Amino acid sequence: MALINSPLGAPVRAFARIRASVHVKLLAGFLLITFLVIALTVVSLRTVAETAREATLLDQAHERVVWSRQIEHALAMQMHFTSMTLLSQGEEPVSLILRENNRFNDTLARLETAAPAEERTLIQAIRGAQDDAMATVADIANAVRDKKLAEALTALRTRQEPIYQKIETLVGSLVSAEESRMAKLRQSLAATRRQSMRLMTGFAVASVVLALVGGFIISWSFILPVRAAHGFLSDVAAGRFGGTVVVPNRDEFGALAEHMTWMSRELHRLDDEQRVAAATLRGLNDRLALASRAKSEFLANMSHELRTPLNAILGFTEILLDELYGEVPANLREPLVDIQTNGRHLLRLINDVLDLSKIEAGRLELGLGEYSVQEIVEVVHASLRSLAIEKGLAFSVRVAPGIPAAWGDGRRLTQCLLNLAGNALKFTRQGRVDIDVSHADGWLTFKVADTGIGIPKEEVENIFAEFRQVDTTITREYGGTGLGLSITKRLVEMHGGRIGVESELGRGSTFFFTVPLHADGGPA
Amino acid sequence: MTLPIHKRASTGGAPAPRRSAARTSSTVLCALGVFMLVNGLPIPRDATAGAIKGTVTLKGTAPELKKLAVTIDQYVCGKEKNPEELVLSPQGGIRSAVVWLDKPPAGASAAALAPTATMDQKECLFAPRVVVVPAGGKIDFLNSDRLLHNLHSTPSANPPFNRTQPKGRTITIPFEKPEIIRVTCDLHSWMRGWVVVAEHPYYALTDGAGEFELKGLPAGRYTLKVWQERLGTVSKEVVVGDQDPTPVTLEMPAR
Repeated sequence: MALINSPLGAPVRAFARIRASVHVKLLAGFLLITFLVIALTVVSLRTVAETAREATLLDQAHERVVWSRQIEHALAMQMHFTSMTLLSQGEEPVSLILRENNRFNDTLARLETAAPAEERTLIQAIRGAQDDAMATVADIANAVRDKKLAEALTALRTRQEPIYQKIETLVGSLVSAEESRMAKLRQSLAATRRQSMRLMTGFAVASVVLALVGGFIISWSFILPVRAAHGFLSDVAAGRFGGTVVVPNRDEFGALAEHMTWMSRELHRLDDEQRVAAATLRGLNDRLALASRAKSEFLANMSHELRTPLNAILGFTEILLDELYGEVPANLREPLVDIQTNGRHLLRLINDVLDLSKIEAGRLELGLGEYSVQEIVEVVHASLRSLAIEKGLAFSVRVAPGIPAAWGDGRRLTQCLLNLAGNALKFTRQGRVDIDVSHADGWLTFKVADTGIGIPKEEVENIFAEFRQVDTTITREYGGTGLGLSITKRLVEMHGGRIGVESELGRGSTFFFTVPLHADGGPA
Repeated sequence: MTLPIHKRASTGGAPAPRRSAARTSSTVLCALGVFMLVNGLPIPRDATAGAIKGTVTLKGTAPELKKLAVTIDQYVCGKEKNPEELVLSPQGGIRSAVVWLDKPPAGASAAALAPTATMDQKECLFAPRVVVVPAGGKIDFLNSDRLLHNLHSTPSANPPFNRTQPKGRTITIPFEKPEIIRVTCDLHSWMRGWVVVAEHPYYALTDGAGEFELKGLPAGRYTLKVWQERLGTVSKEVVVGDQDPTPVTLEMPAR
């Protein structure tokens, strides 16, 4: 089954093919982003540190420029105070000269300490000149104190001034060196700033893009197999087995897809097997139905054919007993009555078999018409009353008043009730048998209750099957074909009703059946 | 070039109040002393010749001396200076005190003091702080600092001097009259040096333990005098007898 295409199909599939669990993949994705953020932070910090370093260098250079200015100022002040000294010849300006000269030394020392290596030479030159200047200043000061003004003036003009000019020139180059250094630092600072901006922007964009693309690829590598599985499961649900789920994933989804494919094959195999079995069964069933119908038809025909000679036997036996052929000797009357009794029993058996066969062959049709419940009950009561009296049983009937005329096959329903009541009388040695008919909601309920031997619970389900009685000894004791209940059940069901029994072994049974007041859509 | 600033910074203590040293130093005093060459004096053959060997100690509680803050020229001078106006050994001996006989014995012959002494200026301190030089002797003042110092002194008996001194230049000053002279530097107000111009050879300078020795003394009774720049002058009678050398302890009361 092909993957549903996604916009980044190739990378998504490549990612899905990575042999790692979903857990690891997600973790790796998050870690990647986290590392990017950390890298960004590190780069930022380094940039900040670099900027701070350059700013410090700039500050230092600036400080050195300030010191250089101070040196120049100290020089100017020394010249100024020297002039004052020459003018006033006092001690005070002398000490000011000395003070300024020492300050010059101090500043120069600081400058030397702070200066970069390439400026040391320049500063050494200044230092050398300053050593000369110190000696000159001392000479001038001492000359003034010794009142040797001419000597002092000469020292000033021939020594101090040239030295100071030299120093000024040197300091000037120092200042310009520092200033060009500052300019470079400023440029470098700006460059660092620009670079850091570019770097940060790059990192930010890369992070966002990576997060988006990574998230997209990861999620699609999960979505695609899920969609494939969804489509596949829809096929399975629709009964199309045997397909395969093809996903590129080599993770949990891949394993799931393999399992689903395997499951689908199994389902397909089972489905095929089941179809074959069903077809076989259908064939068998058809053949069985044919055989059954053949059997029923055979039985129906057979019964019909059997009845003809049996009717002749019964007819002639009756004629003999009615003495139409002359007086029957006393010793023959009893065997003749036996023949008649057994013949009638055989006829009943044949009739039952015929009925059942007709029903099974689908050839029995109900003769629908209007019938009276009261009449049915009375017919049954009349038919069986003598039997009840003979066995010494109480036999009562009760029909709920006001039952309207019903629609159905009255003759068959009579047969049903007769079967149930006959059975009840047959299997009851003492006590009573009661017939009760009631009507509710368009349904008629016929009940036959006895105080007979009852039916074991395990037999209740089978009691309506053909040729069934509770046990074979019963058949021998009570007689009967065992077809009665079966036929009754079929007839009731043909009316659209149901039959049932409630029984307690040794206490008695209550058989009942319900049929609609108007069976088979008859006139209301 | 070495940077005394850094060296000194590590020995630093509490900063002291600023002083406008440069301005107030109108007078100068840079002095020098002569090392006493007491050692190596030949022991007199004279049977009566003896010696005094003693210690100058402080009596009483040593005054608490604050460190001197340095506010200018720190690159050479450091950030502060230990006070040297009274230096004591752990046993209480006073360093750089000058001991002499009030009246030298007549006709005695002690070895003459060296006629020339040296006093250097190093890291803005006079070194040594006290020198003894015989009257008529000279002191070579040196400057080891790469800056200007200005020797200034106004003695009472000798002529005053006020000289600016760059590094490496030696200024030699003669001292004719016996007296104790204070020498200062106009540019660094904390600098003090003392020149003791000796009247006769019986002068001694105490060492770090406060000990001194005067040699070539006949037996007899003497008045010893001891001077220290902070504690002033103290006298003591000493009898030099058979014991040689005669031990003595000179106690200077604290003040």
